[in-house]
Amino acid sequence: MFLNNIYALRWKVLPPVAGVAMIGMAALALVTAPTELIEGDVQRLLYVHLPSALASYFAFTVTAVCCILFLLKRDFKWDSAAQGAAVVGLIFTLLTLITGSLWGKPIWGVYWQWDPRITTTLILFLIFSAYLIARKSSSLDSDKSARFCSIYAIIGFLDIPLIHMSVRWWRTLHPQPIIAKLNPALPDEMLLVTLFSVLAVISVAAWFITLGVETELLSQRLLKLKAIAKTNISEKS
Amino acid sequence: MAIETNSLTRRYDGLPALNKVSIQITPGSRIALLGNNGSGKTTLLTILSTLLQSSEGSAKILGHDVSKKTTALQNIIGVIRHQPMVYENFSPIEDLELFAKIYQVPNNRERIERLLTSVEIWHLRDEMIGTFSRGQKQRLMIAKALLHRPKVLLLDEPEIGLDQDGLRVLDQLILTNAAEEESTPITVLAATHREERVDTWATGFVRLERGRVIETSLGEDAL
Amino acid sequence: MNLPTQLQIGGKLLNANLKQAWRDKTDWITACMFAITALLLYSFAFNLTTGLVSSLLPGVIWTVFLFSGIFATGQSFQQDRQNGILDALKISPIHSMTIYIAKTLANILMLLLIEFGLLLGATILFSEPLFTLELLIIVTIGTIGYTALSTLLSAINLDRNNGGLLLPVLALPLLVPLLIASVEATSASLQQEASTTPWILLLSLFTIWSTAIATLMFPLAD
Repeated sequence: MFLNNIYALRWKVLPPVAGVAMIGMAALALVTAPTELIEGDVQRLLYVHLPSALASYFAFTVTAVCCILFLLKRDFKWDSAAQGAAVVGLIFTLLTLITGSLWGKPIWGVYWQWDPRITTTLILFLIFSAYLIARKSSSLDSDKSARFCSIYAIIGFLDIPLIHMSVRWWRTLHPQPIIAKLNPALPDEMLLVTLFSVLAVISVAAWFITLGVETELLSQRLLKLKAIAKTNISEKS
Repeated sequence: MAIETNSLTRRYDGLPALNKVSIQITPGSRIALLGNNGSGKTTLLTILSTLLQSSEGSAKILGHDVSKKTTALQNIIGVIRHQPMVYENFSPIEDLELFAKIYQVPNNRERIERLLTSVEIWHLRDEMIGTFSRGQKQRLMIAKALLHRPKVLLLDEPEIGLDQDGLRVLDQLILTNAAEEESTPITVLAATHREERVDTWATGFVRLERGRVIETSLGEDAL
Repeated sequence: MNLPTQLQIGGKLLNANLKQAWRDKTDWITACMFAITALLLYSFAFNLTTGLVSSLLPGVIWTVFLFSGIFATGQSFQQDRQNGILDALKISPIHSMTIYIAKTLANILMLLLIEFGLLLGATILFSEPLFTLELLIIVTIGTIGYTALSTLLSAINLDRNNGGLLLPVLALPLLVPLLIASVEATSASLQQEASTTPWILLLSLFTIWSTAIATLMFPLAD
């Protein structure tokens, strides 16, 4: 009940919060945050790159949870929600890869390296692209397709730590964690901007996920209405 | 009740193939499931066979909920579907022996011999099923459906491919087996387009149209 | 139905699957021919005919195994579905997991036959010691791993024409840890390095994980 009440406020809360947060993030990242000594202004990409990566993990976690709920309850609204969240996850994964490449060119001299994190992120993109391709090319209320794709998404999601571990053993080049540790290796101003950026992008991701979920649910409803209309027309004739 | 459905509904692409179907069939009845193509006969039988989940509603066979596949339920239903369910590169003996082991049929060799003789394909027992005609495969399906002495038979157009002799065999086995197991009479629900034959074997019928029940006569055994 | 009975019936079903695979060898022979052709193509493309094969051969072997194996296992439930046998098994008292395990084991045995044969042939063609016990163990563990997952994915009929093409697209990203571990373990084994163990451990971990997940997930796909 409480969760339903919170969810009912989504259109009143999410857009303004996300909007204000993004404006704040842009101002902080472009103006307030100091310029990094060695990397220069290209370092500012971190304020988009890192939050995008976290937003994609968040979105895919929502996908995986919705898939589990679908398999347990066999209610198609969870299948729709999973698809909506997966689309958002893919957008942010792509953003992560692009911003990473843009950073990589001036710093490493190349757009791409076969590094654990980068490779894992690319495979994450492929897995959930395959999930959406498989799901979208079947009927929206196809029980078989929804079940299969849910299983696939769960396996794909659980596979990510293994992929990451295996690729890490294979290559190591990506910068090591700088924030998720006890003594973050960032100056305070940059750390604050980074944390604010994470919150801002996550709020945008939450808004997009809600939009994605609602779109899928509306598609389901449209399908049902079309079917009812078809039945009524054929009965009258 | 042998077969009981309560507002059973199944949708494909949003369209109901089965729409709030509620029927009650008493044990020992032999009910013909009638209706044109697309009326929902196959969908109903597929749900009762536990191969498909309903979108809404419930169905029970001898008290067992078909949405929960239990060993007890699987042991009491015998099914013939549109398509033969056979290993094409096995012989009838090999195919039936495997399923006899799966269903843990006692004295399975004798049982298999008796059934293959009843359906009059004992002489083909060592031939590859892939070389059989449609009618011969259908006879094998009849034997296979009866192999484990089911209490309820769910048959989807069992006459397909059968000649006059084959039809005679089908009628005898549906009726004979019903007589054989008098302590626990076999219930039969069979979809058919051959309405002219229904009087020869059925005790009642259910007619579907566009997924709905439009007419029923569940015979002298009906409540 | 209790566990000993399920195991007994599973054994009968495994026997039936092997019999079926042996009698209708078309898909397996096609997979084998594909593997041989691919191996030859790679050998020309990477110039494996002249020395220094051991650095490239592991990658070549495993991509050939994966592609041909996924093709072959992708067809494994197709025939059963077309013949209605999958429905007959689902209607019967046999547990879904038993159906899956019997099919997967049959696939593994058939694939190992093909792969060991290929390794023997490659030993002669490339004058590399590919038919060693360590390598056969690596190939066995790797095959169990990818067969478990690809058999699960093949079990679900997506009711579309491109279902066959979609299977590698779905399976291969999930199999990256296996591919990496298999290639590294094979490479270390060929170069007789001491570092084979960590890769064999990762491979085993992935195999156990994928087999467990696939076995548990199969009934849900029902």
